[in-house]
Amino acid sequence: MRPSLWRAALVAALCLGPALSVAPAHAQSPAAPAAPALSPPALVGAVDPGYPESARGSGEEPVVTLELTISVAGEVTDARVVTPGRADFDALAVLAMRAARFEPARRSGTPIPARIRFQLGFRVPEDQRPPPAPEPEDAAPDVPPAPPPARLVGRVLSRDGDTALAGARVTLLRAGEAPREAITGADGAFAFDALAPGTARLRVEASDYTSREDDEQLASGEETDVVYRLEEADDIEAFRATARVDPPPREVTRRTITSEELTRIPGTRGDALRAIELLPGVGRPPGLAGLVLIRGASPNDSQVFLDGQPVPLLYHFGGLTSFYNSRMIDRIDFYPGNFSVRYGRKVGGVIDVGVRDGRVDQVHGVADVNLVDASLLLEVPVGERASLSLAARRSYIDFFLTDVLPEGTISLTAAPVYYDYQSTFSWRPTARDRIRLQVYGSSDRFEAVLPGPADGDPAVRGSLDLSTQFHRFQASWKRALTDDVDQNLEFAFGTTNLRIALGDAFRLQIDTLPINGRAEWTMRLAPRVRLVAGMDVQSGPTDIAFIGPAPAQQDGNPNGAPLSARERFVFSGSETVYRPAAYVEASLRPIDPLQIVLGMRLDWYRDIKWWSFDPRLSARYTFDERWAIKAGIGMFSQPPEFQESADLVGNANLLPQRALHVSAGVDHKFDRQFSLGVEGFYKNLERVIVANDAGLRFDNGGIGRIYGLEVAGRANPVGRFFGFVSYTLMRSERRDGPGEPWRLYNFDQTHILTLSGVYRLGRGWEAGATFRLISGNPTTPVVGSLYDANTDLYIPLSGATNSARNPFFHRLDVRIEKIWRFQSWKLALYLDVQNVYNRQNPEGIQYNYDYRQSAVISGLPIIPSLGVRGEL
Amino acid sequence: MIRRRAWAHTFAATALALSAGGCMSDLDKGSSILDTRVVGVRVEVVGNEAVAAPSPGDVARLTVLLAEPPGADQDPLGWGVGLGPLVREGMGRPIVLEVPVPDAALLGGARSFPLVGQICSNGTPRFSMGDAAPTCSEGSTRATSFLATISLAREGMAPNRHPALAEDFATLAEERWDAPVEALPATGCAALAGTPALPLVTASETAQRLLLRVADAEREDVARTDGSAAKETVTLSQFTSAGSLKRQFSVFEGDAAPDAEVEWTPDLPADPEGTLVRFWFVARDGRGGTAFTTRAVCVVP
Repeated sequence: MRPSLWRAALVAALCLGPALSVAPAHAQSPAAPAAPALSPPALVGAVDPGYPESARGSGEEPVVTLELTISVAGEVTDARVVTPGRADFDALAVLAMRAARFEPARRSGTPIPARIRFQLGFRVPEDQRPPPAPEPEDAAPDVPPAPPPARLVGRVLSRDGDTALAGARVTLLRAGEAPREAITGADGAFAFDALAPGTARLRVEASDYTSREDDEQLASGEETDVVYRLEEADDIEAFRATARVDPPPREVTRRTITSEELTRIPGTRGDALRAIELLPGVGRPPGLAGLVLIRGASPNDSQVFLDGQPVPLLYHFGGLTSFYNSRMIDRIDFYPGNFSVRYGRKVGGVIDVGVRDGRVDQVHGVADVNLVDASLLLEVPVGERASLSLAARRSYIDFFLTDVLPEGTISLTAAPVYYDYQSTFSWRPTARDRIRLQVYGSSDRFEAVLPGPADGDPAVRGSLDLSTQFHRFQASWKRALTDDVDQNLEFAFGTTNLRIALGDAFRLQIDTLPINGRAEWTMRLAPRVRLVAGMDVQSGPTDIAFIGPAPAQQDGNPNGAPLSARERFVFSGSETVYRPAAYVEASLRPIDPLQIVLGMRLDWYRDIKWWSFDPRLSARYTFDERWAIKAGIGMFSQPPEFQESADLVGNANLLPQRALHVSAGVDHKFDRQFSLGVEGFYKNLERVIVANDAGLRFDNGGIGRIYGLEVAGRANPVGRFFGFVSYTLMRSERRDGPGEPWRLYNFDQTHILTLSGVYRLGRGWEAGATFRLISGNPTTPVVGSLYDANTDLYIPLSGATNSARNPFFHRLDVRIEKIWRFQSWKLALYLDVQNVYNRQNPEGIQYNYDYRQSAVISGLPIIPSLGVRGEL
Repeated sequence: MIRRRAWAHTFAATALALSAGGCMSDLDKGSSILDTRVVGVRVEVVGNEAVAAPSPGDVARLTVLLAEPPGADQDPLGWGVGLGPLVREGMGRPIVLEVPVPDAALLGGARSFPLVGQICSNGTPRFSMGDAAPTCSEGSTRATSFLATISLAREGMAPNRHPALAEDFATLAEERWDAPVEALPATGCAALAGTPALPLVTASETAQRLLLRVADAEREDVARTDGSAAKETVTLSQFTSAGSLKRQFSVFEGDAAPDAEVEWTPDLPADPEGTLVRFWFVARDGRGGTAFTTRAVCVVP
C-alpha cells in the first residue's frame, strides 16, 4: 500500500471508527491499524486540554477535530483544526495536542511519519458546573460550606541540564478517586485545577527518563507550585531521536541556575545574571567594578557567552544590573574550570547564558519598574510554530542625579544612563529544525565635567567621558540531520565601542566589528558513544586610539604614579583579528556508571601567528542515584590582548598563555531537594604575560598557580524553599618572572562564603536573604613617598606587592515579594535591599597628599530597591 | 581585543574616588602647609636665569622652594642632593646648589636626568644605593625625599624658559594683592595690615575669592599630540598656612584665559591682634620651568 493510501485508510478508520470518549478531559487512542504490516500512531497517556476561562459559565463541551502530523519520534509536529469552532477551544486543543506524545506509526516495526485526524473533547470543570438546585430552606442541613479548591501547577524538567520536558505525563493519584492526567506543554508546564485539599500523589513519566512519584500537600484555596526533575534513563542515547542539539557532554563542573531561581535571589534586584555571584568559585569584584572573578583568574581570562557566542560584558556600569533581560533567560551554565573544548581562547572560566524561546500559547508581557530602571518584555506567538520576544530596559538615574549631587562636586553633561534591548524570533518550521534570530545590545554612557583639577593629580581635570556599547545580530539554526546526527550553525556580528576619556590626559577609544561563527555536529555513533565535532571562529577589525600612560601590566602593578608624573603615550592602530578553531569531543560510556569525555581543540591566532592544541579529559562515575565522583584534566590557551601584542606598544612575539586545569570532586544527593558537592581544583598558569624591565613591552615570563576547594550545597526549588550554600577556600598566586618571589594575585580571596535562601510564605508572599562573607582583596602597602618637584606630587614607594589585605567583606541582602494573582495576569511588589545593616566594607585605601595618612574607602552603602512588576 | 574589562577598574576607581570625596576632609590636604615642606625646585642656568633647560656643559642652579608656616619651629635642616654616586650636601636655609651638567657623551643622548634630594629636620641625609630613597640620620624629626628631573635643552630648539606670573598676579576679594615686602610676625600683624601687600581679612566660614593670573605673553608655544601648536599649559600649585583652599591646583590651559579663580575660606581661630596667614604659589610649565611667589594676609576675629 502506498503511503497516500495508507493515510487515507487511517483517516477513514479514525473518523468512522468508534467515537472518541472525551470523559474527564481525556482523549483516547485512535482506532486499530488498518493493516497488520502497519501500525498507526498511538497516543501515549492522555491529554488534558483544560477549559478556556473565556468560556466559563457557558456550559459548552465541544469536540474539536484536528489533523495531526506525527513524526517518527512520536512528536506532534503540526496540529490544525479541521473545522474551526470557538477560537478559544480551538486554540487550547491545538496547544494540548502539540504537547501530546504518540507512539509513532510503524511499518514493519520501523517508525514512519504519519498524519491523522483526532478528536478532542472538552468538559466543563467540576468547579464551574452549576450548583444543584437548593433544597428548601427548612430542609437544609446545617453543614459547613465546602473548602475552596486547591490548584496544583508545576513543570517537569530534566535533571541533567534542566531542560523543559514536553509531553511528559503527570498522573494525580488519590485514594478513592479516579486518576487524573495531564501532559506537559512545550515549556514543561502542567496544571490541575479544582482539587480537594489534602495529600495527593503525583506520578511523572517521560520517555527516555526515569519515572518518579512524590506526595504533595494541597492547601485549600492555594496554588501549589512544584518542579520535578527527571533523571535520564541509563541508556538514553539508544532512544534519543529528537531535533534537539544537546549541550556538550558534561563538564566536570557545570553549575546551573534554573529559571525558577534566577530572578528570586536576594541582593540581585531580580537580575538573573547577578545570581552568578552566589556560586562557588566566584569571587567578589571591587565595588562598582562589575567584573567576573572565577577561581582566582583574571577577569580577562574568563568569557561570557550568550547562546554560545561571546559578548563583551556582563554588567552595566557599576555592576548593579546585567545587560540582558532576566525573563528571557532559560538558564545560566557556569563552568569554573575544565570546560568543554566547545569553549576556547580563555584560561579562566566560562559563563554561558541560554536564551529561551518565547511562549506560543498567547501574548505574554512583563513590565518592571523600580527605583533604578524600568523594563518591558513582550512575547508574541507568530502562528503556531514561531514566537517573537521583545524587551527593553532603561535606567533613569539621569533624571534625578543632577538634582541630588552636592553643588560643586561634578557637573554632569550626560548623567549615568544605560539601556539594553533584546529581540528573539524563534521558528520551528519542522520537527527537526529550530531557527532563532536574535538582535540585542547594550549601552552605558556617562559624561561629566570635573569642577577643577583634582588635588591628588592635576591631570585629572576637564571632561570625564565613559561610554561602552555593543549591538549584535545573532542567528542559529539547529537541525536534526538524521535520527543520530544533529547540526548547529551559529553566526553573529555587530559592533562594540568603548570610549574612556579624562580631559586630555587619558583617552581610549576602541571600535570593533566582531564577526563570529560556529558549526557543530553531534553524532550518536553507538548507544554508548557520542561525538561532538565543531569549528568556531572569532574575527573582525579593531581600531584603537590611545593617549595616556604607557600600557602596563594590569595585575601586580601597585599604586602607580599619578598621571601627571607619567610620560604620556600616544598610539593608534588597527588590527583584524582572525582566530579559527576546530574541536572534537567524544563522550563514552564503557560501562553504565562511567562517563568519559575526551576532547581536543586546535586554535590558530593569526595576530601572533601561533597554533595552540588543547587536549582535555574528564570522567564521572555514578555509584547510585545519590553518589557520584568526577575528575578532569585539560589544557587551555589564551591569546594576548591587543595592546600586549600590538607592535608599537607591546610585543608581537608573545605566545598564548597556557593553563593546566586539574580538578576532582564528589557529588551527593540527599534527596530530591538537597544536594552537596565538594571539589578540589588546581590551575597551573604558564606564559603569563608580564611587563618586562623596559616597562613598555611585555613578555611571557610570568607563571601562576591557583588551588583550592569548593563546597556547594543546594536546595532545589521543590516545595516552598530553595537556597544555596557555597564556600570556597582558595589561593591564587603569580610570579612575575624567573627569580621573582611568588605573590598573591590582585583578587586573591582566601574565603568566599555565600548563604542564600528563599522561602515562599504563602498567599503570594515570598522572602529571602543572602549573606556573603569574603576575604578582603590583597593590597600593596605604601612604605614611603618621594616628592616629585616637577609635578608637585608625591610618588608612593610600595612595599612588597599584595603583601597586605583588606579586612573581611560581609553583607546581608534581603528580598521580600508579594504577588497578587488575577484572572489573566499577576502583579508583584518587591523590595530588594542590599547591605541591610549598612556595613562599611573597605574597598580600598585613600592616602593624603604625601602618603603619611590614610583612610579606608568604603564600598556601597545600603541600597534599597522598591519595584513593581506586572506579568501577563 | 583589548582588555576591555580592565578599564572597568578605571571606572570603578574613578567612581570610588569621586564618591569618597568626603573622606578627604579627614586627611591633611596638600594645599595646607602645616610644617616645613618642599613645594618645588627651580632649575636655572647660571648666567641665563630665565632658562629652565640647561645644555650639557652648563652649570645648573637648583633652588629648593621651601614653604614654612608662620611661627613654625625653624629646625636646623640638613640636606643633600645626589646624582648617582655624586652627592652634594649642606645645612640651613635657603637650599641652593649648583650642579655642572655632564657632557653630552656622558649623558648618552638623554633628554633629562634625575636628581634625588633629601631634607632632614634636626638630622643629616644618608644616601645608600640599595634604598629606594635617601634616608635621614637617627634623631631626625622629619624627612622629606624629593626628585627633581632636570630637562635638558634640545639641540636645534630654543631652550625652555620659565613661565612667568602676571604683574597683577593675584587679587583677593576683587582687590589687588601684592607680595609681602617685609618680614612679618606670626601674630600681631593687624597693626601692619590693610595694604595690598597685607590685606586684612575677618575670620569667617565665608569663602574669599582669589583671582590668579599668569603672564600670557610669556607662555611659549608647544606642539600638541596632533602636531598643531598651542600655548603651553601652566599648572599653578597653591598653598596656604591656615584656612582652607578649595583646591590645590589651577590649570591655565593653552587655549583658555590666563586667569583662574580659587576660593579660600578663612575659618581659623584668629588672634585678636591678627594672625598671619601665608600663601605660596608655584607655577610649572610641565617641561621643567618653574615660577614662584608668595602672598600673605592678616586674619582677625
